[in-house]
Amino acid sequence: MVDFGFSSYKSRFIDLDKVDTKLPTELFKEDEILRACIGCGGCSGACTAAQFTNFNFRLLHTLIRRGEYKEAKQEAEKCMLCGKCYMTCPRGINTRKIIQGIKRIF
Amino acid sequence: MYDIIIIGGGVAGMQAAIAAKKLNLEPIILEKENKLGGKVAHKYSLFPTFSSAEQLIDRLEAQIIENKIDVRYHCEVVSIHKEELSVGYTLNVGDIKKVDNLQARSILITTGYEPFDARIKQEYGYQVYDNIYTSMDLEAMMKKGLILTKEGNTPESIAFIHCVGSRDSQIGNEHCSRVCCVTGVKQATELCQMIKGARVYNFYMDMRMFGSGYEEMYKEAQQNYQVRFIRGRVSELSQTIDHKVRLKAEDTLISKPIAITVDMVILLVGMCGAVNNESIGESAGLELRENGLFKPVNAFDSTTKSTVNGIFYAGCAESPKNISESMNQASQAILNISTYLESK
Ligand SMILES: Cc1cc2nc3c(=O)[nH]c(=O)nc-3n(C[C@H](O)[C@H](O)[C@H](O)COP(=O)(O)OP(=O)(O)OC[C@H]3O[C@@H](n4cnc5c(N)ncnc54)[C@H](O)[C@@H]3O)c2cc1C
Ligand code: SF4
Ligand code: SF4
Repeated sequence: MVDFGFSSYKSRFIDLDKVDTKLPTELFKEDEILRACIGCGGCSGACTAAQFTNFNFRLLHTLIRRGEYKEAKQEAEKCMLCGKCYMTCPRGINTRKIIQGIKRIF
Repeated sequence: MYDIIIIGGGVAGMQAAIAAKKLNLEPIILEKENKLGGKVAHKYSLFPTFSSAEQLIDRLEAQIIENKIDVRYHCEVVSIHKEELSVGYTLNVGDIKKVDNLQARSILITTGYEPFDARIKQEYGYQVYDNIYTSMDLEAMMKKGLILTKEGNTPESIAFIHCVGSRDSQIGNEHCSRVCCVTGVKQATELCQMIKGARVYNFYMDMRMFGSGYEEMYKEAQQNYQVRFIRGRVSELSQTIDHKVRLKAEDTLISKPIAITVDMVILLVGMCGAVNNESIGESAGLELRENGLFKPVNAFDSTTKSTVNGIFYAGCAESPKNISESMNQASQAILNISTYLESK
């Protein structure tokens, strides 16, 4: 088996017609700038937890925004809340708030 | 009294002066440095043709001389004042102790841009760690024909970092500087040509190949020079004990963190407003954009017009542009100024 690095979510076809956006919209309330993420990976590149686990903050919230949030809470638990991602994000997204939000909402 | 005072003698200011003469207008160029050409004069070669920057400046300079255009060097404009009773403007030039007043019927602002001060992005260690340079520094090295690490060796691996000082809310620069992506492609290609077997990496967020021939340059860099383009914003740089530089990022196309150690790092710095824009803007009542460049009346048919009668813009003073766009806008500005002066 090839290790795709992010095993929690099974790869499958995403049908945007059927995506429920209610919960992702709830997450945006934590920090509306999350909508402006450019997917640069600055956060995940700086991530302390990513050195020890397959945690990937960029992938996590991007999946949530596509309606893939079944195991989101579990994933968010891997975050060490060090805040390095917040310091590097070019959009100034409050990544810490987003993590807390994921734990609360999903 | 001059018809037009042109503030800044970069390619936009030079082209404007030449175009003004063709319409029988009397211009003067005020340049704070001791030579014309602006940033282009400090460059080695130009995208998209890889042709010599010096040759372009020489061509323009020949026309400046041929047309007997007045140029004042070491002349830094700090403010503009409209004369209450006369038709024109008075310019305060130089420092406050040595105010020199010049008068004209109209003013064209071609103050260009200031390269982003890379020291502000502390995490990239510019002037703190060894072997980290900006794209401007690299042009100067290429001009000298000497690409060497601090230890005096030819670098075998070089990494470019895109968007340094652009597209970055953390430092308050939201804009895209447009030309740095293609500069990265040009310089990566040239390093591969100059250094046999060099391994060159470009860490980008988006590749913005906006001009004619740019996408072709990108493809050539990938295909013929094996430049490795990695989609991820570099999060951290650190110095190794042997003075190399270690980079960390996420390769977002495979969703994995990656790290690499290289001999040299080049920061692709963006464009910021020229240093005097604020005082000039304030004294004349001109509107500045958030990035410190001048905001025209509208973004379509009046990009050269300011909200103040008789004051116009061209080149990078108005927004980030390449050379041809800067020069075309300069010609457009002269046409607009000519119409304005006729209507007076
Ligand atoms: C790294 C890099 C590489 C580039 N390479 C290319 C390329 O290969 N091809 C290309 O098409 N474009 C390139 N560009 C873009 C190019 O530099 C600009 O399009 C061009 O310089 C714009 O000319 P300008 O006259 O508007 O401004 P500038 O070149 O900035 O000139 C402005 C002039 O005004 C003077 N000035 C400023 N303030 C005052 C003041 N208050 N009083 C008096 N004088 C003043 C300055 O000294 C300067 O001489 C590059 C840009 C960068 C950042
Ligand atoms: S650093 Fe910010 S903009 Fe970049 S992927 Fe992470 S959250 Fe999105
Ligand atoms: S042109 Fe490229 S490197 Fe420059 S700011 Fe825009 S995206 Fe970033």
